[in-house]
Amino acid sequence: MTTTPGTQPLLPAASMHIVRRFTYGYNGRLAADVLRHRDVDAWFEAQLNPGADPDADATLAWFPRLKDSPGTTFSNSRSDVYSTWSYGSDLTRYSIARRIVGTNQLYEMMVDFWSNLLYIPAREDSSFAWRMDYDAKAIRPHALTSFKQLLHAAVTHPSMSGFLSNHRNTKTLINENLGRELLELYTVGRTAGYSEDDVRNSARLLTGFTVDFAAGVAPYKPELHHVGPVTVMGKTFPNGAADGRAELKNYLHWLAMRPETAERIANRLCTRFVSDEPPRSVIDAVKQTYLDSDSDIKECLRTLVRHPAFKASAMQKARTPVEDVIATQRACDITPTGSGEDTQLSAVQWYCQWTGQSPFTWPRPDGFPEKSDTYLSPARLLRSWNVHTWMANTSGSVSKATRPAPRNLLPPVWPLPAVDLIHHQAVMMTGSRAPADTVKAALSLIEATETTKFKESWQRPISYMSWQLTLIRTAILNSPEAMLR
Amino acid sequence: MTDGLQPSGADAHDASCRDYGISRRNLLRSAGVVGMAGVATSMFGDVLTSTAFGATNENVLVVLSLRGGADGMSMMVPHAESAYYSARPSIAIKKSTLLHADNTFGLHSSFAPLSPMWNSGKMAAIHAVGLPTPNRSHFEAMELVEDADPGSSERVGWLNRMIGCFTSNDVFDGVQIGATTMPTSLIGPEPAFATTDFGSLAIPWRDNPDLAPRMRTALNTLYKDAGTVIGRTGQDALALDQRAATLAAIEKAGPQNGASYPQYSALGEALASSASLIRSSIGVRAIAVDFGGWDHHVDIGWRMSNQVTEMAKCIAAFYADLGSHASRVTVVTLSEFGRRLNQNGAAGLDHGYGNAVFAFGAGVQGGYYAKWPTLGAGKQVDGDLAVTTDYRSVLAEILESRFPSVGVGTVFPGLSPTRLNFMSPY
Repeated sequence: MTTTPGTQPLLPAASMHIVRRFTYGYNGRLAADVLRHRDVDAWFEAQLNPGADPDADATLAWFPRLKDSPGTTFSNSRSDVYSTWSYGSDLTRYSIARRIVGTNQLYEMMVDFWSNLLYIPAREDSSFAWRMDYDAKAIRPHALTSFKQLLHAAVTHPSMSGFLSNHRNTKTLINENLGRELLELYTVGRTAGYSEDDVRNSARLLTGFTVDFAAGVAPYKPELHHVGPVTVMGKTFPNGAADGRAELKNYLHWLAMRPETAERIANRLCTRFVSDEPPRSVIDAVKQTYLDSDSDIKECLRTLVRHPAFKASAMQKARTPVEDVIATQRACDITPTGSGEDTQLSAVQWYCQWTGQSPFTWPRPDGFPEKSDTYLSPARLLRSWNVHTWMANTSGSVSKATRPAPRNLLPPVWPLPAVDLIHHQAVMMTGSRAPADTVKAALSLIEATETTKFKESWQRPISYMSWQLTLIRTAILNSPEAMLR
Repeated sequence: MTDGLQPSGADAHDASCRDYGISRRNLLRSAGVVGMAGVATSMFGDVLTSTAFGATNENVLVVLSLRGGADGMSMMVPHAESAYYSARPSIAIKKSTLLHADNTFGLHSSFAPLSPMWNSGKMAAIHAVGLPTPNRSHFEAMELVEDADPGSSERVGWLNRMIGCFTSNDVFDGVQIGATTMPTSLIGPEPAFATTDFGSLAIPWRDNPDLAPRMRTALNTLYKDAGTVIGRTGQDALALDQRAATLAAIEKAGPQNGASYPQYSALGEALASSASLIRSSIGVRAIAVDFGGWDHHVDIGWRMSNQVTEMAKCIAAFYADLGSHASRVTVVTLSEFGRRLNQNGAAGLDHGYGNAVFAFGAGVQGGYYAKWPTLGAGKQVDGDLAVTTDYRSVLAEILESRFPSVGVGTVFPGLSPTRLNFMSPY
């Protein structure tokens, strides 16, 4: 018996698990990228050491305003030349675009992960002008370095100063905001048991940073810095220099290497990449690697992915709304080629918002919840099903995006068994054959049976064939398996 | 079925409450959008709303969570305290601007839209309320306030326990509504509008008589196994599809009785939707609304004015909108903590302790209430207003007055409530 081309998976199941966890979704380009490597482990290692990503980088040109300096951004917003809202929207779309088209998928995933831990929303009044700079200079260069370096870059960035009031924190008038969240959200966590004095002392070490939004500069002013010994959680920092930045670095590095911090980072990594309730064993393993490697992020990911608990966790995470929208876009191989209002990319941004999670719109400093079951409300599912159905559409035009022509989605086999066509579409879109229920659901949508075979004439008129394909793709995208990772 | 709980004042209803065998995870909790049988969760901009439905139309509790730690002393101002004015040289609320001042307290002038409610005795202001012990972490304090079950590791909120006593097995399934501006590319020539509508909660092609049955069959096939990570939610979504159209029609009618919510207010949208659901008599019992933006570390002056103005206008419009149903509805505000007595270096206030709570509407006996600890040097806790009334006592008093079938001991285990008598007795 001959098999219809394209109905068998290109990647084995174990590879698919790693791919689903560390990318924004399967498509043919991703499969080709994996197959260029010796095996999936080699691909993973290459993803940990990403080279240039010209496709992703090219998307920045779609958002010329994101190149505005912080000062220009601020004044444009104040003078209504370009609003805070629009700057934020550009950053959201830029991030989504990179996740769709980028080759360095693991890198984009880690940028997302750290942006959600060291979280600054995109449209907050005292941070937006520096928000793109934060993305470009604090998060992206450090996303695969060490948490020590990343933490320092983030906490000392003017966007963070503005967001958590550190630009108004001086030796005479302490503002606790950043000093507290540094302990609670970014490092040791509440369970570490620090006191209110520790919080104030944490804030004292952070004094000296200022932001002049209108001028677009963020000078460090030693005259505002608290000088003299301060103690946080029993550790005393001499803090003798007028310029406190070196001591702050010591403080941040000390915090980063506290076991409580290692525990929280390990737990969060395992929650994102293993399961909503990760087993103790994998958290412990990642935590130990974190402590042994001076908080090296790549080492932590290597430990995580090699752990038996990771291997045993396939399909245990539901995609969050934004992960699902982007995975759907990739499954349908819709590729944006630009941005602007009423474009396919602006629709994708809206799909994310409509299903409950547009990047950088969470209002509070704790970031979007990492647990995927948080997003499993019935209403979200109804909306996700609708989004899948719209994106499954194989006909009609898309603005500033490309989509495969319906005829190019068919295997060249006539007569074509309907069941083979369903598997062919599933392999193309998800990397796996369609589960039995998906076959059944797709057959019921196209009002066919397991023995239905399409003759060559079925593809004419093209509108009917496109519609049948749309229905099959709708069933595939709406199956539980397509929404899990 | 027993679970070891020994609620004080247990009655038949409490027993049935314990027998209600659903898994009560973080239902009406703040973080995220957990949907569950009996609870609808909605997002209006940044405002998260959860609505619990029961089988009958009885009294309704609306909990308005002021996220971020609202400064009670800027809202219910202790104007007789010299310490208040000396600690806040540039941000204290001047006595001359206060509304409805008595010898001890006065209201921030931005409460003006609620003056009619105050004058008719339907608004109570309660001071020095909070957690039994200080906690200045937003997230942890919020959890403590919402769990209200000290010492228990079960992370179940008090409102969950309360609605667990109402919700029948004839459930309305979870709803999450997102409010956002629709791009014109999606809605064609019609004007863009912010949707908070139930009308969008439908399976694909619901209005197509040919395709809808096929789609429903397909989805029933795909989600027939409730055991997968996502299967149960899929089944709930299919049930919701069957109910949402009715609710959409109700919501579409818009505010009634000439009620006018402030423009561009996510809180207004949330309360307008809530009012329509209450009026529709589909069995709303409890609504939790998250209203953020109270973390005023910087320049509290104008920010507080704006926040209180929005809140006051929205609550006033909400009660107008409810019309005759207002007599069923009690609103209470809660915040995770108050703020420091002393202003910080940025004309703002850092995290503090004792706070003010406001109650509105049905059953409320208006006026000021407090076991006022004063702001004397020896009376402060770490430089903050002390707490003399456990916030659970405030909530317990509302439950006893408006929801007599709910066992207070079930909702607040271990609490010995003290009464302030701001609610009329049941």
